Amino acid sequence: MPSPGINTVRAGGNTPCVEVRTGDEQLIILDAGTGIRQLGDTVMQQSSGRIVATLLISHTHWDHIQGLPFFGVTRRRHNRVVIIGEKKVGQRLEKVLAGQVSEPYLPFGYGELEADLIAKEIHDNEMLIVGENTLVTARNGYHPGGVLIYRIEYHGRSIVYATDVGHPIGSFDERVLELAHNCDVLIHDAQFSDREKMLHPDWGHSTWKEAAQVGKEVGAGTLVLFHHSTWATDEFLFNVVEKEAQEVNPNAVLGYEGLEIVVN
Amino acid sequence: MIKVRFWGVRGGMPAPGPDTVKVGGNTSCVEVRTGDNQIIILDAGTGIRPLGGKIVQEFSGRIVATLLISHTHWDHIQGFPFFAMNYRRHNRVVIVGQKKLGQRLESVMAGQISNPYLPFNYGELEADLITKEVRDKETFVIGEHTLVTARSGFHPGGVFIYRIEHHGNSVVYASDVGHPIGNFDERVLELAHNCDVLIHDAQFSDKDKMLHPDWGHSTWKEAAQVGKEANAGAVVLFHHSPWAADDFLFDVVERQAQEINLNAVLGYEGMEITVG
Repeated sequence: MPSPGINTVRAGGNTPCVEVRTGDEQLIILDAGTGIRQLGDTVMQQSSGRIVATLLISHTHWDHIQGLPFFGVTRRRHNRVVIIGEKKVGQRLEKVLAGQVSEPYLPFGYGELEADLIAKEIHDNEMLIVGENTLVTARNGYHPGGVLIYRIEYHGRSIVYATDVGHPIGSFDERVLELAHNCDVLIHDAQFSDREKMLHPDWGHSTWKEAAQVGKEVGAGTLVLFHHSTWATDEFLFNVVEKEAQEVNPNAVLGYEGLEIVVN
Repeated sequence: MIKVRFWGVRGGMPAPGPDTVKVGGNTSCVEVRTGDNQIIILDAGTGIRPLGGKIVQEFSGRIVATLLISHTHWDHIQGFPFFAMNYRRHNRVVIVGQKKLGQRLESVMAGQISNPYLPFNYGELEADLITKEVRDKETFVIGEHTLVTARSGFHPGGVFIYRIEHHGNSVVYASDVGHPIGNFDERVLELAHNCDVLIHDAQFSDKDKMLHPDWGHSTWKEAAQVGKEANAGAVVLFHHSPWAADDFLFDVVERQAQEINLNAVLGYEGMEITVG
């Protein structure tokens, strides 16, 4: 859940949303948590013309889609948002997203959003191209209800987004290791303490130490600790989580709102 | 005696960030405690999460609470799956909302607590969750001494405003209400008449109201005025836009409202008001 408050202003209280911009000006957005509201405002301010964006959805739990009704890009005619998510039998991605943008939950409906919204459902191991030079690969990870992890590659540079993934005890999910192999930036779920993992091994989250270790195993240039627990304060995140992760992997860094990483 | 505490004063969407730490970024949730220890909660925005945490720490035994829902827009119900009281067996939450043809309140609340939106279902929540659908003008009693009256207000899709009365003290909750231009909705004026505390929607600037007269929100000046017309002891400006920063809210919104009504005050997270 979003966690506003004075104790979270540094790391930030918005739910997942990561902006990725390629050298050829493609806009790719990872997840539509509440962070997408401010991202949308920024994008709309920067461009008065037609905006095209690709929105990669890891999974449809609230914290990853709840920002969509407030994403400004959807309000302007001629804008296009291609929404990518997992193909699931009996569950249309568009229907799930639209389900929250309707009466009685909101005073407007999905169909009233002005922009072109195109939902594209993909499978495990499927690849797609964004623009002319950007390759996206999707793989399943472990999370109740399913989750997709994404690798975005552009001219030899790569970012991997692995939120809401769990690993078996004492080993690592091969699919994550393979997808993240040698990437420049690995954004990885780091919600759990060791104790939480012990109590809830099947909840589909990782400890920050596991995240750091995965980063090491795959040779990731930078490992970004992501998907912090709603109860974790800034102090705890910077002084405990980041520190313990860095003891395992010096390339680990705590993800926080406003953090920017450039890969050349 | 009635004690009111604000846990979420934001409308639309939660708004975390350094610019909103003073007023708070959680969406609508107000805690009301009566002198005879009844727990009444107005709306279940994200503020209900920290409120729930506090309540379950306060009481170790069975807890009973009444949750009054103004309407089922996300910013008024999105905290419900994370409300700690739901997770303890024997706790009881009575959820009150508007009776609507073809729309069961329980279905709407439960709709957000299911696959694929969450990894658990409404049915798995441990506490007794009882929904009670009421009509415009209906009254009901909480405990032995607290009377609640519900009235419809103007908002797309409908909204309920509530008056809570306990031993002559009263609090009125009028979030997400709009008024006709140049006039005030009689239903709000009647329900809020002579109340001690009026919590009123104050989301809009004059310009917002001009652009969107039918969106069912009020300007902070209207809120202040309604408080005056209804002779409310205090008017709490509520349901702030997610784009409104602390400075703006304290320096512009509160100030302009106070120019109209000295008893107007900006609602913020953590604010407490005791009546009687």
